[in-house]
Amino acid sequence: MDELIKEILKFGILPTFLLVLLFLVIQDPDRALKIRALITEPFFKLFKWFSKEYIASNISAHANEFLNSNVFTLLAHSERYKIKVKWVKEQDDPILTEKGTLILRMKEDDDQTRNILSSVHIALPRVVCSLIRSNINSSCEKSIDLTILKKLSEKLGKHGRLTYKKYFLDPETEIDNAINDLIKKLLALDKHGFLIPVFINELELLGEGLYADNDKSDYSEQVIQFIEYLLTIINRPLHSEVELEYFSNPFKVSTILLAKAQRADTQGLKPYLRRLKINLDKGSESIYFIAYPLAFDFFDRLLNSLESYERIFIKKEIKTQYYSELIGHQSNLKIAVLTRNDVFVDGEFEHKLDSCNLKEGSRVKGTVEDVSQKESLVTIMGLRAYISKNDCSWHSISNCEDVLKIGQEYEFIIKKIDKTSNYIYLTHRLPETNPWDLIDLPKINSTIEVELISYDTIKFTSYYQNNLEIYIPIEEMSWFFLTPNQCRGLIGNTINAKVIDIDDENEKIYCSYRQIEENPWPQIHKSLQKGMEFTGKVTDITSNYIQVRLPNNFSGIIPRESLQKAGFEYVNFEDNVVIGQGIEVVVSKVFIAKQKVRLDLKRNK
Amino acid sequence: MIKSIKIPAIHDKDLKHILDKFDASTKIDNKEIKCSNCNEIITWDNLFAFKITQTGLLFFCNEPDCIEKSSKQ
Repeated sequence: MDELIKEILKFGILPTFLLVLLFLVIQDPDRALKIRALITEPFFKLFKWFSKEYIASNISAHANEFLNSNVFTLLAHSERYKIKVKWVKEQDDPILTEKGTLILRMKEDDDQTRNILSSVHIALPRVVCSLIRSNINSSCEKSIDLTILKKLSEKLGKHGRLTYKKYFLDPETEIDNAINDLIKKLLALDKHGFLIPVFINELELLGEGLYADNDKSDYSEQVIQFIEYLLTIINRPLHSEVELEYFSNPFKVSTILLAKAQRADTQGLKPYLRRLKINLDKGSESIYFIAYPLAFDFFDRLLNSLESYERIFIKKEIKTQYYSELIGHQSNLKIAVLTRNDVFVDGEFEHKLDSCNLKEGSRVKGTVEDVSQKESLVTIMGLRAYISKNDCSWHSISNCEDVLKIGQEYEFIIKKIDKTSNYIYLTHRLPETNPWDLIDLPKINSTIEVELISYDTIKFTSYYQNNLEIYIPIEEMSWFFLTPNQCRGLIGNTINAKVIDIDDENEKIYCSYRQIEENPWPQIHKSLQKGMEFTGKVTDITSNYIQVRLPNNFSGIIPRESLQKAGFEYVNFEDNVVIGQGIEVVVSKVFIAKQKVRLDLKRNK
Repeated sequence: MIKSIKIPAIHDKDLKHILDKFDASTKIDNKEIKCSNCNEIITWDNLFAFKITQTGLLFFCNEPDCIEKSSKQ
């Protein structure tokens, strides 16, 4: 880096400076205006030299920077505008003969704030919501313009805010207080990131439709109601459900909030795609997907999958900010603007099924588009299909991701076609890979070697011959009660188990590990009498009991109540008792049916 | 696509000279011109804009309502 600087400085400081300026201007042409305003400012302020150059570049630089970064980048349409001051200098300027031309008078004040605000105020009707303005009244129109102008005034500093209030806001609200009320509501929308990305975009889209239909009705009241609807969304109490559809002529809008990342991770895209489909079926013309930071990854996945969805167009993906009351500062927000594809015909689903010869039972190749815990999205021949976790493999899996990878192609079988909802359900459980048919099944009462893979509250799952899943009910693992720690400790072990049930219909085999040994409980019942004293060994500690192994290898538990009754170190037994320590116990009761031995501390006797 | 919006403007220095073409300077001096929106007398101080029409010039004062109307009338 130092070498580079030395090389550059060989040319001299001035050429290097000019080179940097040139680079900055090429990178962003608006910078030329800022640089020009910056250079001419001292001459203008001191001697009123370069007055026109300074005023024009100052106005254009501020106006363009504001409109580009605060308005145009958040709008769905691709039109961009550049504001430029054109000076009328001579009496014979041709513009003075052009009928309908508005010519502004630019004052030569040191303070150009008012000129900047006035110029943008004049330009706004041409660049924001230009088509819908004939359908709304003056109060609505002024409120929208003044709200946007307020945003500009805030960029111009404290003086900008004062100028805005004195020359633009106050004179209007003195006449019409409704404007003040409406501006407050629009500013609330802006605070939550909804003003330009949702409200203004919706007016833009609606304006295009009304203009095309030559509809000149006054929709001011409907616009105000739409603002109220958006306010209910932003003001909704935490975790509460709000109406996310707004069908009030001429508005046909749906909003889909992506905030619950956990739900998105477990249930995947399907609930949202289903909601989108319902919204389209109901007649939504525009749909707004709104994602808060926790759902950004999911938002990207959703939009990727929607790129091929024929019923909609993704008009714009917007990155903006909102004020989070929870964290007390600005946070990022992503909004996608979608519009209905009016050319799409709903009968296309069945037509495609027929043309691709897709039926229930058909074998198809599909590419995985999205994977979530419980369900994944697959594209087959341009159609969307879903596969649930249980259909991903012949083995039990905890997440679709264990088997399916995004972007990979797999072979599937169509399990079900639901023509009423246009859904295709797939399975990846292909007959030729079914372990039930691939290995010699064990016989009932035989002893087989299995590897314990996982457990839940009901059963252990194990593999026989590294392929077929075998289940061992929890109670069949041991003649004694197993603590969660003990269950966990068994995973990964290979054990011999006795086949106790074969369910041919559901292709499931159940085994028992404890039945390898004789039932010790009749013996326990005989040999363990109430009141017998032992010195046992602590084998496990939970919040509710301590498990103790007796010298005769039988196990029992000391309940929490007994431990606390003993007092002293046993009050906080979880902290003070350690596994392996000796403990003086007395048999309290033997439950032969429950196969449990209840012990008490000798101290409590 | 970037569309250029040209805002025609007259600098204070050229204002009287240009308005002379329409014989408006003297009328402003004589307080004979009114804002076409609010009817306020146009002065050199409150003149915000003017519009060229078939019949001549329409003047607007610097009241916000008049600024807004000037871009529509």
